[in-house]
Amino acid sequence: MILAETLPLLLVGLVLAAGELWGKICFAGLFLLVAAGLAFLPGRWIGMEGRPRPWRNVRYWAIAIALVQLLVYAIFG
Amino acid sequence: MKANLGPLDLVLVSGYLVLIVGLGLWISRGIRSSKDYFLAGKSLPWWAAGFSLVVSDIGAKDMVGLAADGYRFGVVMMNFDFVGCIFPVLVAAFLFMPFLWLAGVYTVPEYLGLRFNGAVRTFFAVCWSFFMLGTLATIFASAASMFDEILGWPFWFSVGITAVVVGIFTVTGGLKAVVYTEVFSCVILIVGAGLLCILGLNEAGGLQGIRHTVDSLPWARNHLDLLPPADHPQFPWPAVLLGLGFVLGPAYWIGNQAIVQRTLGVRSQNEARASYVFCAGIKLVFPVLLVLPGLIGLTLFHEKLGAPGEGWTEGNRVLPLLVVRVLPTGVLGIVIGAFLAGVLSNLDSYLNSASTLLVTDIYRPFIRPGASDDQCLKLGRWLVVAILLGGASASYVVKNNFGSVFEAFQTFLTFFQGPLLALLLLGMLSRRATPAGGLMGLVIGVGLASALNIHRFFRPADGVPYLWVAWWSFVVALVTGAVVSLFTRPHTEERLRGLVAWLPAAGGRPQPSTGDCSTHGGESTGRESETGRTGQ
Repeated sequence: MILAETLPLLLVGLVLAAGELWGKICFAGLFLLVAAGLAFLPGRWIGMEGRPRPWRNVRYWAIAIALVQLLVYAIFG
Repeated sequence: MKANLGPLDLVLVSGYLVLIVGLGLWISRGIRSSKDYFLAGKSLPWWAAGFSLVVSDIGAKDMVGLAADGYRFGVVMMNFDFVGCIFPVLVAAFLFMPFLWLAGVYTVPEYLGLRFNGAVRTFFAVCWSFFMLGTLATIFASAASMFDEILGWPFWFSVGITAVVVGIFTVTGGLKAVVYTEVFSCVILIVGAGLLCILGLNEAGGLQGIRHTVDSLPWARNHLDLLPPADHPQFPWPAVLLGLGFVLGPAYWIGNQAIVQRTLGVRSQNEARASYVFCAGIKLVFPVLLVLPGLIGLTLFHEKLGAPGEGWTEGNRVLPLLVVRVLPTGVLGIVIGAFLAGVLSNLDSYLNSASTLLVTDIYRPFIRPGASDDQCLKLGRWLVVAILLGGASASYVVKNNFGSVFEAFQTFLTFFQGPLLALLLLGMLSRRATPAGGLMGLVIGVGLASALNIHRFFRPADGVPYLWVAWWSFVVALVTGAVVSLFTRPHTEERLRGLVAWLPAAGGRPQPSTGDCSTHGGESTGRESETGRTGQ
């Protein structure tokens, strides 16, 4: 009961506190989502069913690029 | 002030031109069929396609245009590569490109024709053709403004020289010549742009010098914000995210023939994926290389060029002025070579792709369904010449009507990119999307985008920013397409095999292409009549 009453207030509070950070959160979150999707999606969903060596694995390279972008927006956004 | 080209510069520039034209002509020896010409015989390695993807996107219009917009708006322009390129490229690499490669098509409109109907195919083929003509015009205008400032060449002389050089190897060589010359051009481009940034920063007093200038100019107060406030007049961050990141970027990287064609020319779907990820990796450095010159230009030339406002058309002078001011002999030759690399690679990409589109999506299905492979090949080469002349003629209009060539390019895109992405998503991800739904989504979406763009053209003060135009035309096309599809009859499941993500082609193998002149009348998919003349 207490949680049900306080959760909406908490969410509103978080939104207000974030203020100008919303842009940074959205952009960094987008790349976090891409990195997580590439890391955890089953191989057959994205047409990658083999297990190539790590440095030849396109999926790993793509995750690294997404993480660089996440850092760019987290730091400079 | 014009550049003082020394003998070393002239040797470097002419050496580059001779090398690039020679390489293109040498590669063109192996062209035997339209498949060789339009898809490089499906023989491209991933790394070559990756380099080629970068310089098909980044060219003269971006070097001149992003420096201009870096001057006008600041680092927010870096988002055009960060969220407008790297994000959609990563998504497309795993979800869309291997799928399009497996569909065995030559062009994106060809896919849409198979998935929806011939009207949708033709509409997008015509849209892309006009867009490519407009893009060629922006590239010619960029080249001419650069050559005018640096060498003092008159506008039409610059346009003519550029057209002749690029025409020689694009007409003869096809996609393979285009891609391999672009590998070389990409390396030159990175080296040249990097040198310009380093020497320019030195001249401007480093990053501190730029910050000091930005702080002193009231109209430049948001120039160092990568994400401007939500009430920014041109680039509010929600519009950057929704319009650029979710619509313009994905539509460009999934639906632009000049981009997709490289990936359709690689050997396997794994290489298609690798080429896109490689491109995203290279693209990490380009936002800095292209936008930083604009900020350096702001620091060095704000008194000369003044504050941007309505009717201000000085933007395209920022890069040439910077080149003339900061580069010593020798380096100047490398940077002019880099600029030429950008001009040539961009022009040859769009020329080859426009020719492919017109042959595959207009000539073969509508004008001469029984055309032989040889006829398609010959026509493709003649079309390159015709499109080159058309783009060159239109360049004068672009030069005189837009604040920067980059703005012109993005404005052209917003007319149909939103609806294009909506149809690609509906078509690839849903078996329920119907031809009627696709067509209605297309008509309503493009209609809305056109109305908003025309309104902005006549009343710029209260017009809708073009990123919002892209977003809302996408949403309206998607909703219209989905709603109309609910009330109309979809294609049968058999008909959709290999065209919808959840319905693999029979036997797990791709369907043969209907756009391949050499297979016309041979391997029939049974779909041709629905995308060609008889289906209208």
